[in-house]
Amino acid sequence: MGHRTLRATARAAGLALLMSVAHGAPPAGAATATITLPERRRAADFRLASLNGGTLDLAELRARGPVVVDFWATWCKPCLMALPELNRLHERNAARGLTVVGVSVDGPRNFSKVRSFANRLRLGFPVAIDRDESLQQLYQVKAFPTTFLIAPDGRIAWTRQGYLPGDGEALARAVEALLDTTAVDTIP
Amino acid sequence: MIVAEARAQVTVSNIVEAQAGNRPFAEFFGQPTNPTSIYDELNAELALSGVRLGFRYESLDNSRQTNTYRTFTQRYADWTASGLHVRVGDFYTILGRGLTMRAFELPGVVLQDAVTGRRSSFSRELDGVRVDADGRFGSVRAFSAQDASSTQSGGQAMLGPWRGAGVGATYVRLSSGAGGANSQEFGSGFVQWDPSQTWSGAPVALPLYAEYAQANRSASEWWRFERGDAVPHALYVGSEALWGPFALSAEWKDYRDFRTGINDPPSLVREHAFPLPNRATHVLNAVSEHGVQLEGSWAVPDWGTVTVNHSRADGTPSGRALHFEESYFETHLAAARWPTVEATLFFDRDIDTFVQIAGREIYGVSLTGRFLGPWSSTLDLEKLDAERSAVFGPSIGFTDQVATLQVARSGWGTLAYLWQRTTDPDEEDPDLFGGDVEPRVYRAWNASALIGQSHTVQLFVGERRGGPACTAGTCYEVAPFKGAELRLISRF
Repeated sequence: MGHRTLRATARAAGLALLMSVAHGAPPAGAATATITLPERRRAADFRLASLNGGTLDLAELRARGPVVVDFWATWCKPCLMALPELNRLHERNAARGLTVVGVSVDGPRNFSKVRSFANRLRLGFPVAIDRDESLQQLYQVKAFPTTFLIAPDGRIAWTRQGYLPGDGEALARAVEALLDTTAVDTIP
Repeated sequence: MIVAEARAQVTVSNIVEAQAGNRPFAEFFGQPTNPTSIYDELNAELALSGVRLGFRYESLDNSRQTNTYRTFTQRYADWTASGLHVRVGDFYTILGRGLTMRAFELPGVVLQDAVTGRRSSFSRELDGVRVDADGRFGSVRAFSAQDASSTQSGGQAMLGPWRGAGVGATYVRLSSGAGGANSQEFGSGFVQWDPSQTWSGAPVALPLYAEYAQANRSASEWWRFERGDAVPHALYVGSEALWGPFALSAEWKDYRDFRTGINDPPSLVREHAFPLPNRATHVLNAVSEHGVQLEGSWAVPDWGTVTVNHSRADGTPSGRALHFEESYFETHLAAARWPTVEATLFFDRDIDTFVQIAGREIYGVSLTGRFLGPWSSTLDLEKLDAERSAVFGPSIGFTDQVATLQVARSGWGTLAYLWQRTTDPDEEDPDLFGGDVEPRVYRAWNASALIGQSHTVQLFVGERRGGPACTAGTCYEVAPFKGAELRLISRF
């Protein structure tokens, strides 16, 4: 870590603090469900702007049920095969509380094509762009696609790096198990 | 019942890559043969109630004991609370669409120097402090960083009180020399608007983004939107139109003397997933380039997709008029009637005098079939015919061919055989210089296996063709290699 310009730091912090004053109260997103999963890593909460408007807040999404977070890109060939399977998973289980979130890891070269790409594949789930790579870093994603299934209590229940035809079925089984478990153990 | 929050958590990811083999023609170039090396990239992070502490540690060891290193290449502390995010140490960031600033990495990409063999992660981070604040009416991002030779500082402010609309500005200052004697300033203004968000229920989505940047000019000069050759500038406009199964994206660029070393403006060139068009892509020259890109797609219900793309650019980076133009067609067939079979066909035609390509055609097909439940097989066939202008004498024609056959089992991994052949004289065996060009053939086996949910192991055995490759919009050089390479990617 090198030397930093204190004046610039203070200026940056001041500007940011000024903006934070205008910020409203944080959303209430604490999950109220408990499920019996083995102790595993907890998914870091995040907020991302969806390309269709609105905010994707993991804590809020988890309050509704399990969440699938898929890191993909328009240039990634396996992603092209995986996304339709995720879309079918979304169509089958959205009403049961599952949320699928597509996080595009495209660079500025492709920002203007991400919505078109999602439209071409008729994706019904929300898509966001991780413009500054902060989410990739937070989840330590090193290959694409990488998919996380996050339980309502915030624990990562299932992970997959890469995609092979048929992987969607394994994810569907994990989702089904989680939905069943949640249904049994959830305390309203 | 409220689930108890984890008090502290450590997250670790690791990439280890071991090589045993040679740079092709090592003996010819007088280099040691059969070296072995091992590269490791370790990322670790401790998260504790809104605070995260992390580092990246990289190391390279080899049998020659040259260019070896073991060092922390990133360290950071991160604090997040209710719309405010502060990071001290190494960080990435982007301002606007990257016209004035983009610090980033290509996750999973390990660069290798073709001559020295030195390997490292592809990372262009800044070292300093970054502050982000998101509010109801907009957002602010500010940073200050320093490296061995210069100081970079700047930020972005965006006002967006209206749903789907926003207006903002970015500013970057680079200082170097004693007391910051040498400095450059870059500034941009941008506007974005998505009418379908402003008026919900609109049948057509039409998001629009426009950004204009200048270098070393005052704010009053910025307003003139000058785009002459004498004014360093960058103009980017992008829009999409989405209507039912149809989508159209249109982009326009005009860059002049805007290759700053810390920016990454959109190139307006299609990024291809297939190997041959991916390595043959046009690389943006922001010194002088203006042009457009149009891409249209149609999602054919129960059949697949059709995509067409056309891009062109002109420029005079060295005083001579240069031209790039590419047309691309792709159809992806995934019929609902035959769910176990998928096929993609593509055709690409381009001319790129920026790199002396007088004409080039690439076509290919990819077929995937599923059988016996979790098993699947993919066959890729591609061919490239190109003509390269020569400084003296007639132009040179060459052909590239690629064939890949992969067998995969869901949950286990893959086994693939890769075959490439080229008649490009630039890649001819140096022992065979003179006379007719002898084709080069590259053969390799590639296997990958999943070990639980935390590890992926990949084994490459054979000869890898060197040259350009693009990942996540960024192009870089892949070093040629002949031998065996074992890679293990882990996440805990």
